[in-house]
Amino acid sequence: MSDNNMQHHIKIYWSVFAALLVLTVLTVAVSYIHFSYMWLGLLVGLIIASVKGFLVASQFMHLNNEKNFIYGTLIVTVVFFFVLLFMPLFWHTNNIGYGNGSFDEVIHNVPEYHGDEGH
Amino acid sequence: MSDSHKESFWTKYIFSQDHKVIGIQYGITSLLFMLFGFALMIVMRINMVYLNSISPDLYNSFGAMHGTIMVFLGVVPVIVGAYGNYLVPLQIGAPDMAFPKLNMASYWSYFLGGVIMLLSFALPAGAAASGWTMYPPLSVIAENGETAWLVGMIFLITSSLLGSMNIIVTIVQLRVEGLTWMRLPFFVWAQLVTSFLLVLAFPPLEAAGIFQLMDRLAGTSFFLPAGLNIQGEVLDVSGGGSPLLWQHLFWFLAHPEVYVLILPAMGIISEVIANNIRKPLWGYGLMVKSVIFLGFMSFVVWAHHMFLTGMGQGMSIFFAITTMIISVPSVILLTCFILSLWGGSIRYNTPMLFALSFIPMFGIGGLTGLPLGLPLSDIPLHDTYYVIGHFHYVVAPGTIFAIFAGIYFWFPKISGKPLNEILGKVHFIFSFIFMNLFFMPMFFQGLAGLSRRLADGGISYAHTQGVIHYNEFMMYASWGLAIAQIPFIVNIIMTILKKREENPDPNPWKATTLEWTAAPSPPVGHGNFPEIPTVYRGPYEYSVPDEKEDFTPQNKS
Amino acid sequence: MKIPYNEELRPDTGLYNAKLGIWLFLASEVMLFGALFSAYIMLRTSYEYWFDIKTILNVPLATLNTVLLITSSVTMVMSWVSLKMKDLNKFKLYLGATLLCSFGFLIVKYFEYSSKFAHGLYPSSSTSLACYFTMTGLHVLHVIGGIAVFIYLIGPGIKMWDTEPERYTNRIEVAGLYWHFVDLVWIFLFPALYLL
Repeated sequence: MSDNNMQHHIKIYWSVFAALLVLTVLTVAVSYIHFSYMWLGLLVGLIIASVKGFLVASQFMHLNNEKNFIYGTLIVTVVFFFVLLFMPLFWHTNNIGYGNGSFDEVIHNVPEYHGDEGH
Repeated sequence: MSDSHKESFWTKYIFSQDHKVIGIQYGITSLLFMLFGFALMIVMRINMVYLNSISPDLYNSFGAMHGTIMVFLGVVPVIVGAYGNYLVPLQIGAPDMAFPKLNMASYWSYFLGGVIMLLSFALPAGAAASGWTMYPPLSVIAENGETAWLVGMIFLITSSLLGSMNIIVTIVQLRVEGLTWMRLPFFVWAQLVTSFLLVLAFPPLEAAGIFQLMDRLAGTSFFLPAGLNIQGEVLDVSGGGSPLLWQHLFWFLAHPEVYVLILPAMGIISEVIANNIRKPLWGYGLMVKSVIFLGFMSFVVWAHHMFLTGMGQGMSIFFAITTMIISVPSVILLTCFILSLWGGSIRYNTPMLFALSFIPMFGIGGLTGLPLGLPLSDIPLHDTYYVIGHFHYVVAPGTIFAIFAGIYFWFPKISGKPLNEILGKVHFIFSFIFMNLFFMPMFFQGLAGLSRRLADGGISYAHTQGVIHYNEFMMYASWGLAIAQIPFIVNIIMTILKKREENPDPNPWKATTLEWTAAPSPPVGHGNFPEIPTVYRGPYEYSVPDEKEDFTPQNKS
Repeated sequence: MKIPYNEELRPDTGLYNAKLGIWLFLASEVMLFGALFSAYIMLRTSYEYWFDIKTILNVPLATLNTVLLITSSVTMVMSWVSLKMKDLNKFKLYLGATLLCSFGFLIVKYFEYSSKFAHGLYPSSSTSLACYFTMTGLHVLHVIGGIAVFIYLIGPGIKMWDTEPERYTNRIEVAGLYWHFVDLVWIFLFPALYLL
């Protein structure tokens, strides 16, 4: 890396540092707000954390100009991470998409069994 | 950095950083562990016929440790630690693995974990007895060696992570010039995918192990629900935990783990078959894509081990579908093996006999897995001997036969001396017969509803009376299987003690891959190849038209 | 017998060995902490008497910890930059600052944990506390591991700067990647445990 290039990178690192500090303050501040929906608060918190994470990963860890093999490995990892993370939430789902696939409601209008009736 | 001739015995053979020494260390240690695990099974089988030869608690600990030792201390260390470490650098033309010190650390971590597991038998309450699956709440409240099991597992997982990371970096970075991705021997592809499975799948089990250690040692309730009633008394813990959580985290690893058990075996089989049909493998490109797809899918099928836990139908449909999909690449791989045989000049040497028998044996194992992957048919079969028959068919006359094939195949490369063919064929024929005699009745027992993990072999249940007689038959079959290994052990000892002939042939099987261009028994610590090879062609160029020999090595220009 | 591509980049992948190695290790760590977060989500959503620990956790202290880790992250990357610019003294300064911040993190954690214990709050007291102690505890173990590596690199390991400066710089880069990951985990742990 040439010296000019390095100076440019140094500026970026310190700007990211400043941004991270601001976002940390924001994270704490937002936690005091009472959201009308619980999941909204969760989402906002996660978004701010993700922005901070993205800054660290792309700038400090140089992920934004990393090589393809690393990207590939990380994308596969992240997919499995989300599978592991969110699967427990869907454990009791009884349908795929919309519908009421639960057993109680599927069988209806079954005609009564009357036996052979002498035939 | 350069060749240091100041190496002592300790740094050359014990604390070695050479991948060949480490591979042999893994091989010897894991085969000894497998022998021990086998002995545990023999005692269990005797107990099922001659009831109360050992106490039920001891039977349970034998059962749990048989599974643990065979999977984590036996099969995986031999097919990844031994075969992977020894052969991958040789097959890609590298001087060693990418991180030799980490390689050494991974072996000794495995060794330590194994010793801890074995020593757990000497604990006052014995070894872990809650199944190799260690389900809570039993595994948390049990007073046996579950803690030792968990500590041992942490060492084993560390070893596995270090080793698999090493294999991936080695394969990606240290391939010689000309060895492009699609010229890699299929064995190397299998090791690459297996190592990715190990890197990504083991950590959740590590997390689960930490949780269970906390539950056992620090009184937490990660897996203990509130109000848990044990023999009339409510357990005095904070509650709020979920036994299902352990099952998720355990099976998230354990399902990819079974693909770790089979993929390197398929890699070994590919090498042996390609070499002994004297023609290229059919569908190499298709096999590569299949194995990558298989690796990916293996992460999204784990709950098919949990169909009976009360999951919602949406989930069971999802996992049934993914399980059915994952059978496709396995079938593709097996079909490519079968189609490769067509029109080949088949040589029936010992490695090839084991490799050929792998095909129908893995076929039976795989097909019997299908009813287990569908929720409806899994309901009567779950936790019965049908499951035991299924997975043993895939691993025992499946992976273990591949291990045998590999030992007979690569022994001349490792030691410079070939194993005796007659003893090898005797070993094969009797192993094949007794494997089938032993495991086939398990399907009948399972279909009748005989449950797993019963110390009395199921005799106290009325519904098993029609199939209980198989227990005695299987006990004799297990003795036959044990005796059938004697020619193998004798063969190895005999060959090791034999004097090496002057100038042994470095390529006695006339094979094409790079390891056969290295010296017979490549020297330790001095690099593998006298000069770094360059690769010009694919891995299975047998019977190339207009060539003088019926094989063309990869490094021939 | 030299292992190729320990320092020089392999042309087709553009990587040196240790960099690929550390990213694979970080991928496994993503799965480890992912399993912890997954367990936390599963336990918190399934237990109706979940004790909300927000009320007993010290948010200002944890915010201080966040600031300490973020600072240590920027000083870590600056230490690597200093080496790239061949300035050994600046490197030592920045790595020293990183060490200082990480020790600070540990000290704050010590106060946090001991105050919990003093109030009779242990991992066995409730599952939410169990999650808190285990997740932050494992994170602390990773911080300690990082500190051990830094002490080695600035101590006996610094001799490599004289013999193989490029390889030493790569080692700092690789250690830095690990450290940024430890910071990343905390960036998610902090809101998940203390704020949400």
